[in-house]
Amino acid sequence: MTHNEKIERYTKALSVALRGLQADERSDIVAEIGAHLEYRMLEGKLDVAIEGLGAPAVCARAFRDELTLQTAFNDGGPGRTFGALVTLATRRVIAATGLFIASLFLLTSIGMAFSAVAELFAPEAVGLWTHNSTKNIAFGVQSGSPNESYSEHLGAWYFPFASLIAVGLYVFSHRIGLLFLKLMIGRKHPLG
Amino acid sequence: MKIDNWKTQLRKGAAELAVLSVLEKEPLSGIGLLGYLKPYDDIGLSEGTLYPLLKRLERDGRIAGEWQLSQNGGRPTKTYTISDDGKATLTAMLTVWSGFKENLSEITGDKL
Repeated sequence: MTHNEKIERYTKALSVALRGLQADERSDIVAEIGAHLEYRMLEGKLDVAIEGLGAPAVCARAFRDELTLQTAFNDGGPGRTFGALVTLATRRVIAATGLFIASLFLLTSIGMAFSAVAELFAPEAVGLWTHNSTKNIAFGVQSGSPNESYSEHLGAWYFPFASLIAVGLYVFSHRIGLLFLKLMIGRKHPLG
Repeated sequence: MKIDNWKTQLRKGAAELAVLSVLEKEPLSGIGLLGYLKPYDDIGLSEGTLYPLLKRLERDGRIAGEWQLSQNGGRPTKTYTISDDGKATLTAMLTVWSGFKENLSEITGDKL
């Protein structure tokens, strides 16, 4: 990709990220950032400039935040003030939701890893059982061996089975955490 | 204590004062302002923070932006000039800053 194409791509993405702003304001911002990038390109510092501005979504958010707060303080009635609060609160809600979901999977992963290790030391207390008549399912570590009304299904396969699930959940909790972080701060890489 | 957080809070107020002070000396573009303020690292103005600040100051009427054609045939650049309202704001800010600095100097004594 040539430097001019990089600038074109960045400014287009910025323009999209600024949707919702007044058209003249939006084109003014895009033109100024475009001129800035072109100047830096001539200095041979285009990549540094893009890094400094952040991803288009991040750059756009800085403008939006300034304008949202400014509008709320200067000429905003209750509607605009409420809108500014919603904008800021949404990010916190996204972060809190991400933390909750990622923690849930991470804790389940730790529990599975614990039960996999427990299988090595107390195999009779660990397993995947179903109740013979009610078909209720019990999984993991039980206090003492379940009685005869339960059937165990995994046997020695419990360790690899639980280990695999533990690793899978661990990876998933990491991925879901990253996903929510990206939702919150915009795309990770400037031109990604 | 995380000193970076404190530094960020300090910079938020100082950036506006720095930009208005520079523009009172001469009209400059965003690039020009960044070049002017480059030696002053502690002010903390970067590409990512300067342009949104300029936009806010322009909307507030403290500075006025004017597009000018580039001499080398490139994209037009926007040059900013401080307005009368901006000058009044700057004077008020400097008065507050001066009092703040004096008080802090007295409190901290030789440490500052």
